[in-house]
Amino acid sequence: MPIWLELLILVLLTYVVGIGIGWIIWGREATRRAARGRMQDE
Amino acid sequence: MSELVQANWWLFVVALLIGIAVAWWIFVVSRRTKVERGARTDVLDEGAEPARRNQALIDAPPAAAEPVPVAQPAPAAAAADDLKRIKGVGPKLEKLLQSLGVTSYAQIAEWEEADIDRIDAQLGTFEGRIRRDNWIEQAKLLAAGDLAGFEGKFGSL
Repeated sequence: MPIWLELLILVLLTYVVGIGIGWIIWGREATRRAARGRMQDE
Repeated sequence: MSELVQANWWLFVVALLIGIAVAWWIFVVSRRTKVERGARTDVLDEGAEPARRNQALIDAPPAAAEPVPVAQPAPAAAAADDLKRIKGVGPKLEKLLQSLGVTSYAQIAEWEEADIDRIDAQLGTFEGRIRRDNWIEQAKLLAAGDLAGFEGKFGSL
């Protein structure tokens, strides 16, 4: 595997990890709230 | 591999920060409620009508305290009608109306604007149905026994 591809995959993985961290910080509660709102609407 | 990471650590830090920034944008910024201010008018511009309507609702007797019939039922129509024949009235709403003393088409047909406001305020989640579904006109036709006129205007019974 060329070294640049290895580097690209690792960088993309790090990017995804960053999104995951963001979801844990801000997204979890918002997702839960949205699901609760949907249930109330029904 | 570890040499690769060590040599390009700043690249990983940047990627991590971009990932966190993208997540922040998705979960925080894009979910904020957008308030449209342009089309809204000032409440003071609406005149005294909303205040009058609210006062009428406040002055109206509470449902539980005074469950008396709103309009005087005509003697001939005192027997309970099937209120479910009115389009927009289902079993739940029929029970609610009966608990408010409304049992006949003639009663509904005689409602004035004030009666509509008073009953409407007691319909809970069904508020607004009286005017939306035009109960008064439906009840007038049903009370008069004009089924053909009713079906012509509101659909088959």
